[in-house]
Amino acid sequence: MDDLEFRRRVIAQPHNEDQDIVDFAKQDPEHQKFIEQMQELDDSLNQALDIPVPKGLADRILTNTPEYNDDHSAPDNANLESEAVEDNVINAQSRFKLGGAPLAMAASLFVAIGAFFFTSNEHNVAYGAGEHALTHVYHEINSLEKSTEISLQTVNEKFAELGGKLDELPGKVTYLMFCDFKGQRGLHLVFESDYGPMTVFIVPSKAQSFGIGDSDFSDQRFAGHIDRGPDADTILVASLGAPVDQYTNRINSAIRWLH
Amino acid sequence: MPGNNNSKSQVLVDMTEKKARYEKLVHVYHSELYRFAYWLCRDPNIAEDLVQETFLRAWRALDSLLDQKAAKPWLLTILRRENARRFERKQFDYSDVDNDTLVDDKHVTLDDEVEQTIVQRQIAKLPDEYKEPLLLQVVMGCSGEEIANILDLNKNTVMTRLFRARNQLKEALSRDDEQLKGASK
Repeated sequence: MDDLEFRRRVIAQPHNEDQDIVDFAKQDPEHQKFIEQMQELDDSLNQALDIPVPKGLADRILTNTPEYNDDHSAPDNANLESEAVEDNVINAQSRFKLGGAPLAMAASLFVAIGAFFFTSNEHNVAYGAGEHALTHVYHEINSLEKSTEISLQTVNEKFAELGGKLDELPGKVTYLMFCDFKGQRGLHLVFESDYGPMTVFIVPSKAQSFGIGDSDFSDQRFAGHIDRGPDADTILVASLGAPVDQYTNRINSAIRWLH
Repeated sequence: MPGNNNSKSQVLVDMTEKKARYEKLVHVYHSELYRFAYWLCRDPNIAEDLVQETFLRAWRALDSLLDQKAAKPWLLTILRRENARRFERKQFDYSDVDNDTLVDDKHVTLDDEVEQTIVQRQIAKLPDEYKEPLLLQVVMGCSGEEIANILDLNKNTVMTRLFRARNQLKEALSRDDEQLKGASK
């Protein structure tokens, strides 16, 4: 074995315990070190890929296997069932059954939000941009309940893709996502403040996604402000009663655009 | 003969055995399959659907699995086929353009979390032909031979792809590392 082959095999399989690899590594501490480095890389891959599995998944799988729960499956049906294995109709039905409840919930949520904006016509709710922002906040309402901190570095890695950089944020960032705002990709983040979680949307203004409507908007729960800058629209949505302008100013003065 | 008492009770025994085998498969493999599916599609809901479909099909075809030791590659083959089917169906646009799920409830330090996100992103950037063997090896713990069987490739090709996958990651990550150091100066 030469050095090149050794490296190729260790990189392909860092936990390779083939005797010839082990023997070759013994000849030179550098070889041993190389194996350790590659195993270290593998550990970090392992950690990064080790995402949490949804709770109760095994039970859900068993519950959703119809024949498994059916104590009366007659042998006469066996042929029929095995034919159905390749049948996409069965597949589509089970898919529908799985997706039905969340879909119904999402649909009713949208109806509720729609109804809210429709009925609050006379209550000074800004239309267009504000409605758009609020709908988005309600759509991802769970984003306000996160608590794990996301570093400014991570935020900026994403923000850099839109050509921007944040010097600081007024609080701990707990949610970070690229979102689609009427076809324009923007940043959606949530940070903690003394006035509860606040949502910020930073949307490059080329598409004028937030072009229409008042700059200030509110409903019974949230108040917000839209700042239409030359590079992007910055939208802040906070709990009613929070000093929205003060926070909007802080965020705007922290944004740098990398031209 | 159908209707005969003996054959009926035999059917019940067979069914009980089949259920026990199935439960075992689900409990042993659902986590690894979920992780593998997640990194293939990077969407927790689609990943769960894929795993569910895989086990549904596994249940229906369980009699064809003669050797329990072959269960893992068998399930992976079903899951990969299901994933391919997904692209044959109509594709929907999701509103979250990049569905980066950040790993939580692991109580990792901030540095670890940043590193994990960087590693995850670099893995996602790998071409599928390199990413899949790597996921099979790292997430599913498959050997070179198993990967070769599942992907229908020869073992040398698998080894070359594993080598290239890690080599690309190694280079990309050391580049990221230098950038991080540069940024903090």
